[in-house]
Amino acid sequence: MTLLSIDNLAIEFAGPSGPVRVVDGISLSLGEGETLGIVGESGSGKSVTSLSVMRLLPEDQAAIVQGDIRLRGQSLVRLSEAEMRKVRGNRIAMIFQEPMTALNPVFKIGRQLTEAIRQHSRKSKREARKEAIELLGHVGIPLPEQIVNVYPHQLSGGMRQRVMIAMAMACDPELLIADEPTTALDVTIQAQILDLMRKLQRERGTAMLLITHDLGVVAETCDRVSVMYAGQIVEQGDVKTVFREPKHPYTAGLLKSVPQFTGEGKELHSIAGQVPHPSEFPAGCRFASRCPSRMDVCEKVDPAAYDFGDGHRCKCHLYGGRETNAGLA
Amino acid sequence: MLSYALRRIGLMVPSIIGIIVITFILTRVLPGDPALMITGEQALPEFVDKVRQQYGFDQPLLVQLWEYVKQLARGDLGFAWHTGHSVASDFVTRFPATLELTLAGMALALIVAVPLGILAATKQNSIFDHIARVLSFFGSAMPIFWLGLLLISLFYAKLGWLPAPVGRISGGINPPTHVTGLYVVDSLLSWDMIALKDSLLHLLMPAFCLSMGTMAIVTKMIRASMLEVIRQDFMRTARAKGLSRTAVIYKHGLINALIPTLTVVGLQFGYLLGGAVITETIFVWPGVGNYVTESILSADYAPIQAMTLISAVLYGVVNLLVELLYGVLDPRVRYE
Repeated sequence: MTLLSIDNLAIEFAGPSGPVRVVDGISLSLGEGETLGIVGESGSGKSVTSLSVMRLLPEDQAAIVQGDIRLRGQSLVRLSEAEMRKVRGNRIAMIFQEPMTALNPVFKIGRQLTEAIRQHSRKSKREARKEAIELLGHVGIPLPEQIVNVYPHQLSGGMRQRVMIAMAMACDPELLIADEPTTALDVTIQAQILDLMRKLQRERGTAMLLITHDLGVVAETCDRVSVMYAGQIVEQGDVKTVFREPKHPYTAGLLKSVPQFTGEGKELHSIAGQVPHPSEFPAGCRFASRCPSRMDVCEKVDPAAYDFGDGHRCKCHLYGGRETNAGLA
Repeated sequence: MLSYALRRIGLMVPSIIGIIVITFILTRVLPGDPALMITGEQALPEFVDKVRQQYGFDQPLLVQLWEYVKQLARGDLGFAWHTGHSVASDFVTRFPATLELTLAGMALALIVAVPLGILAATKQNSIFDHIARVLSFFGSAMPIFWLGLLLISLFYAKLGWLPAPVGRISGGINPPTHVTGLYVVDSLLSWDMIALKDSLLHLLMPAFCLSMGTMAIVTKMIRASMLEVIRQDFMRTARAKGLSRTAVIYKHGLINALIPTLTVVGLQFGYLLGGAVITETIFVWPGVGNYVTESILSADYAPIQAMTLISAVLYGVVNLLVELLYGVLDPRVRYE
């Protein structure tokens, strides 16, 4: 059953010269217990998308202007703030990128955890504390009875991210959104954190929306992947299929720029240019200016999404063109 | 923390020595002949000379300074001839008045500034934000003597709502039994409602005058640091737990915003304890500020020097307390 579905979602930010559309018509769905990766460069709109699911976009600056986000069929966009509060931390929980700053520096770990527990249950302080200690033990924190009494700055980045995970798991959410959960961590710690998230996910059957720019992380953790570019999803599908046969030139470029240990001192591949600023998105394909397979049509017409079967879709004129040619012959 | 506090107190010694020397020199360069002030303009020159010798004003400055240091070392702050008491006993009688005024002023400032600063930050460009802006502008720009006179002419002279702005309590009413020296506290302790009401009414205008500056600075500080805190990641984390915006601001934001504000509040408090000269003069408030003014006008060296020294020490002590309080509020700060 579909747990989360995002339908033709558009998000606008207030800009100095009128609203700027940073997320433009994205659609995706996530089944129970499934893991979906959203990959993209910074500025592609992936974090904004994840925040919009939590309805935590900065209120006075950004707004959902089109489309819907549904959790088990129920529209989150239409929920009142009070109803939404019952969803946040309870049915959908979130882990952020910076474990160094995501915890309140002046409160002890235990207090921050019990707050998450008690927000959505009627547990006593003592029960919540006991549960907090259990949770900490569960996320692999040694001596949890002592860790509840320390402040965030006394823990390492990896430990803090474990605390964040414990906090997110406190109310056993149906959906966990992880926004670059390992980006700020050392490589060895990254692997531990990913393993932990996968373990918890398996045990509890939590679905996960993993936002990352790291294709390696996607390959290791996700069932399906959506590749975002300049506020749009350019390709999505099963991780294995997309990685083996990338259809979109952007996806192909991203995969090529992953460093490989081939032994030869080859120069790394890179995609020339930068993601355009949302206020300067072109009328045609947004990747056109950086695309190695650019055609005339790309600059003028926004490509449609083409289906390759099994939910593998790609938004590119390369495939539309073929069909048109076939039609002509 | 104790060893840190002791070390900090030790570090105050050089500054105190500096203050002793500087105030000593500054009082000597004040215009006016102290011997002539003591004897009066009409005194015979021989008599003036005698007084000059008696007080040691004819000695070289270095000798006078040495005598002054020796006297301080004995714990003697000197004698104020213009009141006829020792400076120490004058201070003890006048300090409670200043303390009461300072506490009232600070309380008033914080009661207004903290909520206003928070509202200004969380509801940017709202009416609260505008009030905060106007208040911090007027609070820092308005001269206290002008504000004080304005208040007196309105609330005392025109409307007659407040008693004559002279002192801490009306002439016809007995001050409450002395316990702390703070009239409001003492009248509460002795359950003297008449004295309580009268001393509160007397306190209102000077406390308001005194609070303006602090109110302005603290509002600005709270607003700025709250704006900073609101953008922090941990605020978003708290919202992601399902807390309401208000709960996030007051539970998670406020304490973090108060930490930088604490410094300003501490500095202001320490500064005001030294006596608010202008406010106390306008409202004839029998506190330390008034005492210093009288002493300067009578070229009475001993109380000027002693009061400057005491203010400096109080300022230093309050600063130290603020620093230690920092360590309590912010767990990242630890004093080894």
